[in-house]
Amino acid sequence: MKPVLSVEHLTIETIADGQPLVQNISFQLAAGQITGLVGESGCGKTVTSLALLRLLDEKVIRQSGRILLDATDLMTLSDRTLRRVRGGQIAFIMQNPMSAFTPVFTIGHQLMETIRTHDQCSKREAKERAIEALLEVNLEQPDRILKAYPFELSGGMLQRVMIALAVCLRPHVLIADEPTTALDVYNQKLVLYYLEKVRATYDTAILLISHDLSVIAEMADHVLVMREGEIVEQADVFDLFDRPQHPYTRRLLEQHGLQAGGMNA
Amino acid sequence: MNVPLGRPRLLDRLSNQRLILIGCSVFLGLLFLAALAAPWLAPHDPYLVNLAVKLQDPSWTYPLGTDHLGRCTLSRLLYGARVSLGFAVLIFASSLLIGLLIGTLAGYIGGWVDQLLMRFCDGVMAFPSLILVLGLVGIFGPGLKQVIIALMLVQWVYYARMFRGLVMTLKEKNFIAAARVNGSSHWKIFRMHLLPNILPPLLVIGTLEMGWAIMDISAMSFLGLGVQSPGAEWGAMIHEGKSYIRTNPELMIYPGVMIMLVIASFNLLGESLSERFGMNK
Repeated sequence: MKPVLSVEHLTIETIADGQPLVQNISFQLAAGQITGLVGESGCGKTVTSLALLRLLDEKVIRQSGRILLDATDLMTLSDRTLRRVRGGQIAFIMQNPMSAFTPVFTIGHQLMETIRTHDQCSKREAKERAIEALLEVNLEQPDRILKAYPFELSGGMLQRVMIALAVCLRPHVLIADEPTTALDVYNQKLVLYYLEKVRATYDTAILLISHDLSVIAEMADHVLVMREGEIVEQADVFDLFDRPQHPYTRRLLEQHGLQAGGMNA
Repeated sequence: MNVPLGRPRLLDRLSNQRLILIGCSVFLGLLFLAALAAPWLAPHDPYLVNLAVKLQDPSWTYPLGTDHLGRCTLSRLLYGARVSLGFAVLIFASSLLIGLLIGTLAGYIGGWVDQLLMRFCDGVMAFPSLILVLGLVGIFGPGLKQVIIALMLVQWVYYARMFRGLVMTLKEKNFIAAARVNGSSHWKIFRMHLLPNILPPLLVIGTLEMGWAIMDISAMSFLGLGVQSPGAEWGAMIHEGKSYIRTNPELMIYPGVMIMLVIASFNLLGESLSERFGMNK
């Protein structure tokens, strides 16, 4: 399978004392595949995801390596060109939906602004696309949601709005950083369901970051296990859960009460 | 799924705070209107000297009496409101704009830009602002224009400080990150995400600062550095009236009371606004 995004020898370190945050990691995201990224808190998952879009503060953090989106290396792009990639070709779903929207504007305003940042279109057209996107994640009464302010919606709804927003620009790559952490079980299921739907419908390459192994087991096709800034193991999801190679992976599985071979696939 | 989208009623209850808010707004609003309409409201020309009627008590022709040159005190108060309020707004708006620009830049960019700008602000803030204004006026020479420029040059520092702090806390918020992730430019983030979110505190500080600006203009005029005779301005009126403090104290009392009322209103308004927005100034 042809990779959409391939990361080669990505290293991230602080400028002040050269402390490595992520060391020489390489992986690929393929179209229509969900790649899971697991690891304990602080192992570098979020830093990696931000580095893919070069969103880390370059005054504080230095990153090297190559991030190839199709054939372009994102490391070489100017800030202006990068902005077109962010949200356009690579979309991002954040961890905490309740705080990811500006409190002072309506959902509709923010959706339409983002659409119009990337595609030249009229307000009316942007509105239609926003409504369409909201319907796609089964949010009823989209015109009422467009008029609502973020605080008027629940976390689960906002997370679905965020998925709608991320998907309506038809990105090639979707990065979901702990998209279910802040949600209750019912909404977690919904969000995962829509991610799966996005993958199936648009053939999007999805990087799903989570510390929840059950989420990864359910969703991912391919899994990267990260520990202290390094990828210690990457494997097909069945192989990983059935025959974990690295001792760290084994320990991780045990901690979650998922002994090797304990997963009925 | 039904979404409860009820908006809180604007005037669901008329509390004490609200009364203050409305009362002060109405008073200041009327005062602004009166200042604007001074040429039509004023019973006399505020500059018309008529020594035959000097230092008169209030009468139907002169509702608040006359000053030592026989000029109508009420007319002078009304015209004085134009200067005090008008230039307070000017000083407020311009120092706000400079402060907003520099504070936001410092807070958003950070690093050495921030260091440089803030050290400069520290330098300005090390002096009491009135002393600094006095010094600047000493350099520029007395006059309303000079006082206003001096006040602008000094006041923006306080705004810059405040906006820097606000922007620094805001820029760590998730929605700013979300905007960056979605490919928004810095200008767009400033316009769409930073500015609207600093409006409430801006409103509060703005009302409080208006009071100070009026105070400063009046103080400078009282010292004879701002509005020059025969110009009608509250501080200048107190200055002119002070020679008659024993015989006609009302010449100082009227403008003094006006200054007090206006500043108190602005302060109360700011306090109740900050309460409304749940801020602790």
